[in-house]
Amino acid sequence: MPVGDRTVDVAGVLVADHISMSFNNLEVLHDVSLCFNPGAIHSLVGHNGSGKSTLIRILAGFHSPASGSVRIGGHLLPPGSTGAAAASGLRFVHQDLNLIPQFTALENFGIGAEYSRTRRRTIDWLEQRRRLLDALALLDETEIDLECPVSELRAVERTLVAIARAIASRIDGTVTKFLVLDEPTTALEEPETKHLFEVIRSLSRQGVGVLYVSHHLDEVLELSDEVSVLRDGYLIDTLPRSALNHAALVQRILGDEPGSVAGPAADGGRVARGTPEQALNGSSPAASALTISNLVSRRLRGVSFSIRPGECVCVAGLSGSGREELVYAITGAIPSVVDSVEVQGEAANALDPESSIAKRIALIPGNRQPGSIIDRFTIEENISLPGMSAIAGSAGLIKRGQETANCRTWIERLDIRPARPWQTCKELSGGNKQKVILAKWLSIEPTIMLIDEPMAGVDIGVVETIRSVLRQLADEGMAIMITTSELPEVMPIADRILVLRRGRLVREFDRATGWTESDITRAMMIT
Amino acid sequence: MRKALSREKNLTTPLPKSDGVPERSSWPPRRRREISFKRLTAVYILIVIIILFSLLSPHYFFAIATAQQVLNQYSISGLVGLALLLPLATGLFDLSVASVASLAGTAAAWFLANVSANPVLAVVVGLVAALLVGLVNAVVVLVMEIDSFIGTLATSGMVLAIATAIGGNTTITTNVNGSFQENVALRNLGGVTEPVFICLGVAVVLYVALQRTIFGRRSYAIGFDTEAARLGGIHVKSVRLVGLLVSAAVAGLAGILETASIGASDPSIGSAFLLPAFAVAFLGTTQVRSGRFNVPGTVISILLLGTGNVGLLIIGGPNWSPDVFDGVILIAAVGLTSAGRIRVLRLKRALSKRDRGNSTAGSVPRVP
Repeated sequence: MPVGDRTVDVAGVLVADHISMSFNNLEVLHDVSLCFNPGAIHSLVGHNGSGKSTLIRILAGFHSPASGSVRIGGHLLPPGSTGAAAASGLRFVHQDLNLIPQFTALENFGIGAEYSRTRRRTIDWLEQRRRLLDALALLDETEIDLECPVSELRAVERTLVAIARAIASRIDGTVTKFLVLDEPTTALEEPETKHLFEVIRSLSRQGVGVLYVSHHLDEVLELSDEVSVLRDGYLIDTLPRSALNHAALVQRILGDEPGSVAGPAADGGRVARGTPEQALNGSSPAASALTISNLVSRRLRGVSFSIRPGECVCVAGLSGSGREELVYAITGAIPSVVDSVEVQGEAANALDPESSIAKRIALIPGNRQPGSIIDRFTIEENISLPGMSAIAGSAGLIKRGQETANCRTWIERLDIRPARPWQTCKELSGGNKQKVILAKWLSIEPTIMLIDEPMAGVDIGVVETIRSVLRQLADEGMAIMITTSELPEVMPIADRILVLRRGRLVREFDRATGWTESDITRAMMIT
Repeated sequence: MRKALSREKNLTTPLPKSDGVPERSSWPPRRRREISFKRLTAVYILIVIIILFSLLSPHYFFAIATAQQVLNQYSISGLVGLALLLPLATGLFDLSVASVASLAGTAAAWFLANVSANPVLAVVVGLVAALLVGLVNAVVVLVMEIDSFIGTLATSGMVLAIATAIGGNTTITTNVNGSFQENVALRNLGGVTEPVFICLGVAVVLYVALQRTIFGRRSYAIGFDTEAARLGGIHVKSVRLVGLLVSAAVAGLAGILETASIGASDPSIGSAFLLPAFAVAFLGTTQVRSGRFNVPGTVISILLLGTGNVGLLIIGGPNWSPDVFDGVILIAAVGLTSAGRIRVLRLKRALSKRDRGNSTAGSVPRVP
């Protein structure tokens, strides 16, 4: 505990004092005490689900903690009040920046704060412009076009506009004391990141305390005066600059015994797996189900890979690494360019969602992803959506008896509850939605499945069901690719794990040669 | 795709849940899913106002003639309402339907007066004119990707201008009020005229298309969640194209029937249809299949508004009373449905909050 048992209130210090928080009886923060000094850059690191975002939301006043308090300069902040947090000089730049894309930089500047007014109570745009220019000058940025909709600005310019807004906005007459930056570099390229770092350093020299949240350890190491590590809701350690290095951080992020988390031997017992010989049964080991070369999209910068039949490939990567886009880019569901595509050994044109289905490729956005399931459709309507021509007679009339019978087969097979084909999907639980999504795509009889986030919002029992269904499908010869932010949930059924970082595939792990979760996480985070 | 069944057989044994769980021997009985008594509020209102008007005016209202009048008068505006269903189901507004009705009616009348008195050819000319507008709508909305509300508002104005230009400043009656009127609009069966049967026929076709075919299912999928529809391999634009064309054709048919039934063309006839058409389409979504634009709900709504309007005039209501009635019914029906939903949601939220409050209070001892 860096702060000790009693936190100290020095002038201007932001203190999170013994904060605990739980959602639905699940404790996500456990007695966390932290102390942020003005003029220092303090980074917060940890896995997905380590409690970073919850802590920030508590500081911002979005949540009131179950116990503990937030103080700034000795003054207690009323819990759960965003207004009070802002009025005490806390400013937040969230990952998505919260800019209105159609508004200009100048128009965005006033949102969420007080406007300068003229005597007639109209907005004093001249004064607003002067204040924004001052703020941008503080950030060494003078070239941004203030009259241009922010959607047309470059990514780094948008980030700077958001930061300028945060530091210069007047809320109840206070100035910015602490600036919280949540993953600000997600959309930025290398040189832009450098520029942003210069800005952050100059802010801290002017006495603004910066709280920097990031997945990228190299950035954190370069920038921070102090780094706090959270794991599973516990504050593990706070390291001063002198004690910072890769190894120390990784070890704290992953836990005390890297390597013991998961390995080939540890997985064996969890899910009954087919032997490799069974998995490749009936197809030569060299044949490939899907080969993609040089795939480029907004976040992907040239990705090439190949999946064999009977293989379950898992793709890991931090948010912003291109992992979120991969399966959609492969099937052309989002704009993408590709050099060549081979499906079952045959060269094919670039795919689109329609031709993917015709080629028996199922693109499966997981529960909670856009386009995964139609909430206002019934279970049977959702299941039959992609393969409707199979259950239709002449003139496109749907054979409803057959539709219901198919649906009931899937309901039994995947144990979907409630077992009513005409149940509207809106009322289903996350796990059951996920089963409906799986059933919907299995009904087209795919040979290749590309799945995004199959475990999102799914309870633990269903995770097990989904894992065994997927593993079994792979053992029967299907080629499966899973992109996931919840690696430990998928690792037990993966044959290979590909790691994406900043739009490129950087590492490949094979089950045969062994892997550990910490190796993979390290590959995701460190250059 | 047929192989899907054999694949399922393969899956039966090894899948974890299916061998452990005994085969579900008795499924719950297949309910009548389309019709739910909770979703027939318009029918109850209809019954109530029929009783009310019958009490107020036992001699004039409670008569076969009233039923004939409701059907004959409201079948044509009802047809315009039905025209809207396909585009609305796919998530598009078609504000041009009223102008399309005007254009098709005027084009048919102009053809009768100036080219040939053949009624069949006149109907064809009217429909072709309507379909052309449908194509223009499709270009604006689907190719140029202009928002359908704005795009069809714009085409609507232009189409009305064309109709006025064709018709000139005079109403065309030559050859319209003769055999054309007799053959197309006035033939009747027991006092119920042709347009009613045509409207019924269109309703049946649209019902089957929306409820029973792949096309209908795809339309709803697009309307509810375009992204899911696209990822499901549906070609969104071609489904929407069909919707816009059918909408134009049906609206055009309504315009031709209206021209025939009054025996004269007038470019302004269509504009009176616009609001009632949207009213019945939206009122229909609260009925029968709640939340979906559907044919039976729309038909019930047509009957409800028609009966109310005719009844109000019969009992001597002022001539503005039907408009008030339409507005009140629309707000009442939609409001009751959504208010009921909101109340249930609030109740659920309150219950779950109470549960959570109790359990956390029980499990985590608070230290002051």
